[in-house]
Amino acid sequence: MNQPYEVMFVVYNKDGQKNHGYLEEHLRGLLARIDANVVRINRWDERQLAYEIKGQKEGIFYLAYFEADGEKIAQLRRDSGLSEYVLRLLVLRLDRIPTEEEVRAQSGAIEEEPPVESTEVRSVLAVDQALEAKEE
Amino acid sequence: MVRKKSRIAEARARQRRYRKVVGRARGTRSDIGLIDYKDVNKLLKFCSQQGKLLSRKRTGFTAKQQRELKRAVKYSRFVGLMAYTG
Repeated sequence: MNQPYEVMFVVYNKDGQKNHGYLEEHLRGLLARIDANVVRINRWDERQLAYEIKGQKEGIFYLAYFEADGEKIAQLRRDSGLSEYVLRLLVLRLDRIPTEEEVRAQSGAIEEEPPVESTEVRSVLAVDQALEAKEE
Repeated sequence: MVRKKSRIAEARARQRRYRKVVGRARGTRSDIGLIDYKDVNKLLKFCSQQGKLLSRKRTGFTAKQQRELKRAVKYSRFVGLMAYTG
């Protein structure tokens, strides 16, 4: 029986490529191997890890929502453990897959005290966008 | 005797300060909404500087909310978003 799941992958840019698309491809591959019906997968954030994981200080976080057979989750864990890119993963079973707005509200993207922090976030975003534009 | 009284007053003042850290000390905190392991900024409000969870007395959470908080912080630590120590 298919169940909805949320999975947070902590990966690192092993190949040192500027474009992280290959990481998403890799994760999609892992999910495809367990016949998961991927509803959404996106780069959630890239940040310093609170502690070193497999010698890495920085991690790229991918958040995916999918439906799959519960018995296949063990295989996903095993495959991810063997993967060279995945540092760690957290798989949670959900009651249902949340909409994008719900995810945004949950993960604290909407700040309670906007004035100071949101401008910072916005400026960082602007820098990111500018960099992306340059790369293109 | 005078000295003793002042000590008690001091202790009370300290206790008041202690409680103020997070806010209200009693009752359900409905303003907090969903507790999610991805929302690190929110979770940090309910942790000490060493990264330890605050007690229910200080978070003012219901038992259920406190359990959710516990779970969220543990998930968050596992994926490296929050530190286990320090």
